[in-house]
Amino acid sequence: MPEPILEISGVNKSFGPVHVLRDIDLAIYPGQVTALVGDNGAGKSTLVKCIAGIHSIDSGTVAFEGKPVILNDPRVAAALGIEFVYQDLALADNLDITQNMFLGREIRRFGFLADGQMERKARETLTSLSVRTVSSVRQSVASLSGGQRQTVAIAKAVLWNSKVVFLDEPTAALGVQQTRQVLELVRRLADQGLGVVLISHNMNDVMEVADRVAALYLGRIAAEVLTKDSSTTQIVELITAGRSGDIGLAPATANESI
Amino acid sequence: MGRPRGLRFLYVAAMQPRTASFGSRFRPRLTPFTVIGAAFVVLLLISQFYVTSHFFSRGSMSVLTPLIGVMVIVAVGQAFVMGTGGIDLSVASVMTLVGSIVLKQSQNQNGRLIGALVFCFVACVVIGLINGIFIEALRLNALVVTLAVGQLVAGYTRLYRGNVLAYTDVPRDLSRAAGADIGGVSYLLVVSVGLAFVGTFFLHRMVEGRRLVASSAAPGTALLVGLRASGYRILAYVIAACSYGVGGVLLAGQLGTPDLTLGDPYLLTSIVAVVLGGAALTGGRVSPLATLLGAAFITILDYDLRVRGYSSGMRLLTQGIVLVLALSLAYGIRNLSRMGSIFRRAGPGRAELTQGVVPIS
Repeated sequence: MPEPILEISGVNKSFGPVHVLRDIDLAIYPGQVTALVGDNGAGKSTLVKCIAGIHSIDSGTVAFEGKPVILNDPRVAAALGIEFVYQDLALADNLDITQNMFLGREIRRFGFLADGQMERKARETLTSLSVRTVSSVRQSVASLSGGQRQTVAIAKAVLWNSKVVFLDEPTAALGVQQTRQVLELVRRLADQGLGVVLISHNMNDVMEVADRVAALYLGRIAAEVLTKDSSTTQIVELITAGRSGDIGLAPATANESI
Repeated sequence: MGRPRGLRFLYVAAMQPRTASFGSRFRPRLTPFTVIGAAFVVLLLISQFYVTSHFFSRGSMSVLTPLIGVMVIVAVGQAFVMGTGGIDLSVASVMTLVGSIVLKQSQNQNGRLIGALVFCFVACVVIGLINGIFIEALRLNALVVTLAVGQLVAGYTRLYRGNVLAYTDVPRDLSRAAGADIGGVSYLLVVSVGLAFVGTFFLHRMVEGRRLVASSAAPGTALLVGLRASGYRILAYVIAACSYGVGGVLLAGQLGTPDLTLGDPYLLTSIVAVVLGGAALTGGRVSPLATLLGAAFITILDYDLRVRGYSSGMRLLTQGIVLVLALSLAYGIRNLSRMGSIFRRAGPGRAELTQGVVPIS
């Protein structure tokens, strides 16, 4: 087992009286797809936003490559090589693909935008991911389909030699064909040695690409299991009840109301 | 892929970011820029052949071009604000204020002009910051904030001027600079066109400009990326206030004796000009060059009506109608392209294209 590239331990987060995350422990390994699953409101998106530095954490530690880090700004996470592809996509509609991929980290030449260079890099990245669904890196993002947008958002995340990529419901609004393409892309990221975290509701997706599954139940990690050792039924039970057979939360904890 | 030349080169260079596939992107399309460009040319032809046969004469140019110049400068400022989804109603008061500052600080002496201009600049930056901070940091409504700030500035201007004016004329240097022309075309117009190009360059070629565009059109995205989105939008208000300041100073120089109604005609017209330039009132789409054409259009239209002897009531009515028409047209153009893509997707060729594998160009 390799060392985890990102390790979260004992993370708590409350919004006012609502305790959203409770003692979360989670490890992300390079070259593996870790699926983060859970019901609506289980705290998946909050956890991701805490790691991104959009929300602050109340207690707990985050270690990146074995060293403790404090993530309190999206740029800190980006500088470490942790990238996020959000559910609401985080692409600016009125910019084109290249401009979006470099937004916030534009390449400058004499203080001005070096668009030609950015365009080449964007194209190289898409080619390296074997993306063939977008015809031009100069296309406006507004004209792209859901799958193409997701592809661009993922390509944006790997453009920066990132080491960990979080994908928040990348296949949520996609058709069969597009879902297939995005999942293949997710697998390729892991095969290139990145630590990938896939947040999903879709058990088929999870069983297909994930190596490990971490199930969140009411703000707690119910269990972390290997996909090859578990069945869809087991994972669904972990999501809905917090326990399945002898794995998962203790019955008393699982039945505790929030 | 042929090398773009001449005017076409200018258009491509100004409107599009420099790309490796440079030049292949020029296609005549129904965009706000092309529409206002066409309308502008039509209006010029009407002016020359129907309204007055002396439209391009030195006389009418020397009247018209300074008006257009000031209008363009003010409207480009308004365009920056409207690009963020806001609106700036303090424009008239800011122009009147700088007019008064130039008058009072310079005391009709050329030597004191620089000091007066520095005072104007500081005042504009402060007003822009107040507008921006109230709207972006406190998330108040742009309409109300700028209306209130405009009222504050107007009140301050009255107090500042006092009841008796010791000086009624701006320094000679300023009026000479603002009144200068080449072959009947005012330098004001030249300067304003220059500013519109600088604005376009800023938005398309500079890092801050692109971040401003992103922060305006997709504020959520900008935040997730880690941009200081509100900071960039506040910057837009400061840029705008400074443009009004430049416009106000030049207008004061042009008129010689700026009064307390100096900026009033620019309140509605600057907004009309930006809308004519195809700006969406919800923010995001802003083009200084299209705004330039919009400003020229509304000024020439007003001039034509005046030449034909229409009353001020009729002219105001026309401005209102133009505003409504431009808004509906801008909406129509956007929806047209959406409708067009629906039709294309339904066609067999398009379906094949989206299904199949297309190499990255």
